[in-house]
Amino acid sequence: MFRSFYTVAIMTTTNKLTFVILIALAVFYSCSKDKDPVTPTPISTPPNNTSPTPYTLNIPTIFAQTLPAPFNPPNNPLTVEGIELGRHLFYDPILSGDGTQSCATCHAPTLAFTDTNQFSTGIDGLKGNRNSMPIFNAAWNFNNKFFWDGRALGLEGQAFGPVRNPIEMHNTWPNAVSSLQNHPTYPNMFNAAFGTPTVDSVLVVRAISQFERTLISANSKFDRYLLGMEALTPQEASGFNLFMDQQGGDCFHCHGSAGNPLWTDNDFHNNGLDATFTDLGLGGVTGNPADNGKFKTPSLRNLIFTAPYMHDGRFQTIDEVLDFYSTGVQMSSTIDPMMEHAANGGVQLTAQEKANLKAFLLSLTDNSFITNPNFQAP
Amino acid sequence: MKTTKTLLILSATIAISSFFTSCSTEKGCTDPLAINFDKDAEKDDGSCIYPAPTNNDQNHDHANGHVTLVFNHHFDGLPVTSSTFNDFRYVTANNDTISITKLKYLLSGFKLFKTNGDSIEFHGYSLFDIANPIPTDPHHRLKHDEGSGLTFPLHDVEKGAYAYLGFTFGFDSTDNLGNYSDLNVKNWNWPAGLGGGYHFMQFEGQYKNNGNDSTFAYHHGTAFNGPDKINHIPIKLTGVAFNEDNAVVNIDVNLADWFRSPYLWDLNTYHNMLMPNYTAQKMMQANGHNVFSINSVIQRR
Repeated sequence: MFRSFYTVAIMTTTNKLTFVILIALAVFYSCSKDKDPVTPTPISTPPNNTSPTPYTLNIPTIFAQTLPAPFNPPNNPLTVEGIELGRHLFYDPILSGDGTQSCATCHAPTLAFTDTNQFSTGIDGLKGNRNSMPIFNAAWNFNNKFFWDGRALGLEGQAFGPVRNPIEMHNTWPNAVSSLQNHPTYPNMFNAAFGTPTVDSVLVVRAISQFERTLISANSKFDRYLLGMEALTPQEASGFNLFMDQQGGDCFHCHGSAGNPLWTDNDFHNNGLDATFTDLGLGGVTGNPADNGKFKTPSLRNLIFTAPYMHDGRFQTIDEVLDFYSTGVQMSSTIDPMMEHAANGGVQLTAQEKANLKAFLLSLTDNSFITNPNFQAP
Repeated sequence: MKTTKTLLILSATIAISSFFTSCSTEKGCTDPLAINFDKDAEKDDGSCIYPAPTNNDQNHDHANGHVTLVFNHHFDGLPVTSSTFNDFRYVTANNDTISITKLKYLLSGFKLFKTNGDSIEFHGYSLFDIANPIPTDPHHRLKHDEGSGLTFPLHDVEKGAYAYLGFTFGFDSTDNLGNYSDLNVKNWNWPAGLGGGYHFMQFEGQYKNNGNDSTFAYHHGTAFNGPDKINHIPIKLTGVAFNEDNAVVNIDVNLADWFRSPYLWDLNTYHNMLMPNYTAQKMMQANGHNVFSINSVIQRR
């Protein structure tokens, strides 16, 4: 921002030579690792004089009763205009290298913002090695670490990744920014949201993050049960008891409870998928061998929409997941001590117990989340 | 030509200074409570500087001071920090060699007992997480007064000698009925089927079981499956005196005591599924009485 302002000011009073040297200096000295250098573009729209409209998240009752207020970074306050810009960017393939893929390609609203593939395919036909993660209730991730391996800090940090990932949208940030800058409406939208028509990658990820923070899911049958609005079936109730029973499903230590209706601890665990690791997960990020094989606990909300399951999408159905936790757990050096039945291969559920547990899990489905008009493509 | 030169120097100066400005706007201190909070900082670079913990009450009474309780963890003298985790370096009284992978526990109900029997209570509780002494949780960082890291502040403490420093390991039965959003989001709840409320401790690691690495999960909370369900541990430490405006009480936390006395802890018998295990829960409560002791009190003007 400072750079562009000075550049414009100088341009009006000096000659071409000075301008070229100035640009060269600005480019050489910018922090390209964090913020890609952006070639200053002549400003066509006057700076916005009206401030964007502050936006307050509507906190669902069940979250207000149980959880702290959602986290929002002080340097990226929610605004009506910022969220709207973020929604446009989220659904716009302009961010990808060849203009064919948007965030929504792998994070579709009808699937609780994930896709049905084991591994998503990028614009060059390449596949990754991790399953696309659903997006909801991210403003309550107080660990603030994103991706299966936690490598990104904050939603803003996460959003920097896919655009320039060669196996995903395979663009460069300078190119993405240039496309947006030359677009007929985006500079005006940036002006409305951030008070400057000059597009910047930092502002792009801030807008996308603002939109993502509005993606709140808290209207499942089980939420309504917790609020006293609806009764569980005996099978769902029985499944929930198993979920909370250390000698039953033993799920609550990682996956929440009536007190934590996020249904995740947003932490990292080795849940015993493998005896040896081909994907180090958190350990690949921290470099600590004690973190090898640890991945972020996914929420159990909206499971019906988010198959396949696990960081590598190895299980196609909820039944396969329950079979794994029942008899398929593998011991390894970093197995989580809270996998208390691991030495026996799992929690050894009967067919009836699995059916009950599944009934409970499906009561965490929030149909209103996937149809919310505010979350759809503009 | 002169004008061009001047402009060149001017523009170079601006470009360089804008470089410095733009770099500092990207990385810096992102905590609004820090004195060097940078509202434009995108990433926290660990540079946050915090005001010294002093008593800021307007009716500041010079007869009163600020006390910080600092909890120092060890295992029979061997330090326990996040950097000593995941290493088989500790040996229990039962001769089990263990490593530690997690240690979180809850303290509440801080009190100072006067020599005449009266006591002063201090509000708040703290969930200590030895792996994350400086929490990443932004909410936690915003609540300085409730303690952060492995310390707990006692504000506005009357100077003088006290018979005891007291606190509760876990929550007493009244506090355990409360609803604490910061504990909920950390998945600290104790199952309703086991009496509800919250965990008091999650102490986890591995032990050598006939040469094989096995895991243990020493989780302490309500002892539901038996007659004496109340299972928190009232801790009373003797002999503290505060003479200056600021004092630091160094409290030793000897984790070896969880495994020693009065119940010699055999990890081969008690390593997991301990939450519904009444016997194990009451043994934890008994052993926990010995874990905390005062190492030193440092006075600062």
